[in-house]
Amino acid sequence: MNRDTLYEFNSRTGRITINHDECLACESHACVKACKQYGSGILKIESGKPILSITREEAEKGGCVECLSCEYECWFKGRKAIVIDLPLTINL
Amino acid sequence: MVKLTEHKGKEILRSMGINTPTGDVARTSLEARRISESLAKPVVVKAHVPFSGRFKAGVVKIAETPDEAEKAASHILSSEIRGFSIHELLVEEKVEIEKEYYAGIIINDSWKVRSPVIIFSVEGGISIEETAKHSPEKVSTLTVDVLKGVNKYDAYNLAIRLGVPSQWIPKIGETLTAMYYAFKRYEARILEINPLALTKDLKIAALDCKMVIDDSAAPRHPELGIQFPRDRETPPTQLEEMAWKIEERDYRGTSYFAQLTQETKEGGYVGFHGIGGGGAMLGMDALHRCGLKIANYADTSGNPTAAKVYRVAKIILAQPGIEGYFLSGAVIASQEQWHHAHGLVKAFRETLAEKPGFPIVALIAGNKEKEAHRIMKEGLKDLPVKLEVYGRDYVYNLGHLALRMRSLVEEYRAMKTNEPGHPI
Ligand code: SF4
Ligand code: SF4
Repeated sequence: MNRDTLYEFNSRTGRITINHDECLACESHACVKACKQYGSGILKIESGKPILSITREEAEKGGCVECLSCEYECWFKGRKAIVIDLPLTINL
Repeated sequence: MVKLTEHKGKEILRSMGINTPTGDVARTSLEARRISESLAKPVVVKAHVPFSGRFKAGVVKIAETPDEAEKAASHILSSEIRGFSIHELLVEEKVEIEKEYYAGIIINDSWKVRSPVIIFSVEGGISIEETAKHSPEKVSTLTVDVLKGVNKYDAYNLAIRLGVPSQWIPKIGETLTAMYYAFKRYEARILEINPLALTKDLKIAALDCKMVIDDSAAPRHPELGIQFPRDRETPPTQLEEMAWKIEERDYRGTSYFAQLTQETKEGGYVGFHGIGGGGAMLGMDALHRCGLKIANYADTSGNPTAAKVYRVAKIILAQPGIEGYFLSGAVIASQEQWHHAHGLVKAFRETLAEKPGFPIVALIAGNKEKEAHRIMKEGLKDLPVKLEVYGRDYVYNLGHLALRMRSLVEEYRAMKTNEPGHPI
């Protein structure tokens, strides 16, 4: 995996990593739709890749509501490009 | 709810100006002896455990000398109460009692009351329920208007009504108002002094103290040093500690996890996950009735995030030996059930890929129920688990779900025992 193409941001209790290499070949952009439907609508597509439409700080403060739907939709309608890491021990 | 130790409760009472016997906590018989020596008077040695009925259980002893205190301590430390061993003692000066009263404050949750209620009785040292049943004329109560609080005269009246001699009324009234202040300050659910004694040297003193704090208030009171604000009689398991940290560090929705047993070897145990207490109880009863055993009780409710549901599900699944997962989400409420579905699917996908035939019976009823069902079914279709998802039509038919769970558990067990290399 090419680390340069990894897009990462923290949520309140976890970390979201998107492999933008995969997104360039994705037609559905299901993650963005999912974020609008189930989450807080904080993802947008820019140059064919999903990125935050808010700042990383805002996402970490709770802008990302950890609905997990972007990862889910990407499994089934995208290219398995998102990994949400939610450690069982939350360090705040 | 979290029960403070008697020692901690008495510390709070003292800080409010209420008399208590002088004493300290001992963990060995030698420590008990030293406390007795430093008090230089007869002492009471008690098991320092959060149970009532200690006197009857023989774990409260009077010692006239340090020798006797040491002996009493070693006897109590080698005893058990309700099947639990005793690790701590409270050694306190023995107080000569003239008369025993009862004083307590509880929150009455009934919709008609919804307030703290102060209870006072001229019969102390025995259960207040017994007194209220057999001698109601010996009990007086005051429902507190929380905006106004308690003034001394209201408190005096509690004692006056029961014919307490007038010279003791101010002291008892002051004790009751101080108790209410402590109750409010520490966000207690119960504060009970039984007995509240009139001593031979004419003092009013708290000889025992039971203080129960609302668990959601515990993080607001770091001074109480509560590590695990759950109403448990045993120390928390590793999984319970992890679950509490999840709850403590994420205020979005509520989660609860209690491990009912760690001995799941004989089989027939399922991991249990409720959404909302009432519906969860229905599910647990149904499982019990059809002979299944529950390894844990868990609840995720109050509109938790999918992340919180995921973490609780991972903890449930971390219990060794469970042979199924039962979700009892009999809630028709405001929370969107798709968050539960997303959290569960992620947890199941990470944990159950290598467990062919593992049964999951899920009742998910409520807002966004259909979407939640679709997420569950689609999200687990490539996993080798046995999944059955039910909706609102089954809220009053949990017996059917429990029977399905039993059949699937039996199939799963049969499958495992037929696996090559598996001991039959
Ligand atoms: S669905 Fe997945 S692959 Fe498609 S754009 Fe979103 S993250 Fe990339
Ligand atoms: S977890 Fe939910 S809120 Fe956060 S980015 Fe993904 S879809 Fe959006």
